[in-house]
Amino acid sequence: MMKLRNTLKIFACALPLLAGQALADAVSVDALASGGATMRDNQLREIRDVLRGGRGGYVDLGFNYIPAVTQTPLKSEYGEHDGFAFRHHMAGFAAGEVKKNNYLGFLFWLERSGWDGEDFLLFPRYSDFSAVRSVTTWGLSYTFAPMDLTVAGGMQHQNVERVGDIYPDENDSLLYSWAHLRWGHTSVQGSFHRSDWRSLRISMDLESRAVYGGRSSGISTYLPNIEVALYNGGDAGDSVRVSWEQNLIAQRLYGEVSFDFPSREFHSAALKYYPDPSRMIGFEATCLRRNVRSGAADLLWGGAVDLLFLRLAYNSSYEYEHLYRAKGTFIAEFKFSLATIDDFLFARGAPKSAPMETMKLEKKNKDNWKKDDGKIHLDQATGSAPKTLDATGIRFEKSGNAGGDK
Amino acid sequence: MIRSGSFAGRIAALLVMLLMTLGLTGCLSHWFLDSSTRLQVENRTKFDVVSIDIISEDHTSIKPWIKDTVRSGEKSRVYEEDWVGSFQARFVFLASDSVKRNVVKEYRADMDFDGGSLYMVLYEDKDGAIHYEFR
Repeated sequence: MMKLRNTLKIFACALPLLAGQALADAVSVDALASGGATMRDNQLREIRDVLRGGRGGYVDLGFNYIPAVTQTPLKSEYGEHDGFAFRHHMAGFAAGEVKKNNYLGFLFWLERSGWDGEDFLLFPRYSDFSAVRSVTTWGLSYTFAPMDLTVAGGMQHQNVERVGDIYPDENDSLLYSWAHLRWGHTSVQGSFHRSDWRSLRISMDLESRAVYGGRSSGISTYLPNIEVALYNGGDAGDSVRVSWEQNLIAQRLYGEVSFDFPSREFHSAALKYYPDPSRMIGFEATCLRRNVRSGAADLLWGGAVDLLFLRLAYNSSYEYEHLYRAKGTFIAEFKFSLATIDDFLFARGAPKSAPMETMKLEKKNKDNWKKDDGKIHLDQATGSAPKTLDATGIRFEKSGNAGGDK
Repeated sequence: MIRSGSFAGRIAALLVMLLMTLGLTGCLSHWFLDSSTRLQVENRTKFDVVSIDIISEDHTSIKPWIKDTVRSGEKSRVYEEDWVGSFQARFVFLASDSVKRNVVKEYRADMDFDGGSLYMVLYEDKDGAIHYEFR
């Protein structure tokens, strides 16, 4: 208990200190106004990752922890407002086998984010300059395992709880539909508003992933993951973002780069190192083009450390894009996110399962056993004749007073 | 209670930490930070204050704050608004010129509001310049 208290003390002191030293930049009204579209796109991208297998399950829970009001102030036409950009999210996916090789799954994604004058968990203050918005994505999935085929679809609800006068007017409740089709390594995902398409994402996850029955090493693990995302920009014209994810060293070091079209401009790049391919811990260095100036002065360099329960980021591209262009300050996120398939655990997007001893053993044993002989093997490593446990009978011992056993 | 040695213990400790921070994030800062400013103005100048507003940086939008006319020597009521941060305030005075006609005079000042209760005193110095001060 002492240890825990000390850890908490260190946390409580270190975070504001770190934050206070940094000179934070304000989040903008523009970024908050476009937050709904960002949230919807992000949820569909996460669903794409989770549905790579179409089976198993996924849980996700997280919220940003920003202790100081000066870390994410809001820049409006009146000046700089002290307050908090916030992002709370949770997600769940579970699929069960309804018939042999036929899996039915249910998806539920929820995110509530925006800016408020106070930090909160459930009840915002709704100040005159708040923007509080939520996006809920739900749907059903069906997977036919022998063909490695997944079909999914559902609805997306975007609801505005509050937007202050300083923001552009926004429909307070928008309904979108989405559909997802995966066949092997390729998936296509569409988002629609009534009869109008909003986005289309074509993904070719060519990299071989052991969790989905692929190779755990070799040349096929070095194939790229390519994503082409088309966005309906309305009168502004459609845009395309092409992203390339590449395994560089043993599914532990990855490079990512993305470009925007038709502007043909560099958008972002990242170098990510995962000490274990299960991706529960990760270190990333990112570079993002902000499109506010031209040339190298436009690039935002940052990094993040992801520790399964905690993520710490400074100027990282994920936080910049998903937390209303927050930069110039340390941002912490308390989170928990884990995917599972065939009883193996891993982080979303990971190619291999967690290095837990029991599972290693299970895998090793599976490899060693030619066929299951129904006996419990105690000594595999020595190579000697397997010792077995045979239940020869069950003996009941009588206790002192008769009738004590049932 | 929680043995830090075992795996389950470590997970439990992390969960407790998560729950505690969950509790903290929702309420801790409100114990010592205000997310609105309650402003009362005392007018010690010889002019009447017609309005006190927050004005946008490009001077095109105005949000009224003190909606009373504060006569010379009087106090306004308390007005609570969500202005916490750095903004530009505008003071509009009703003054008389040399031939005793009423003219409107505007003063602007960049101000930082940390929230909470503020008592502002407007006064003139010997040269007739108007100043403000928080008490």
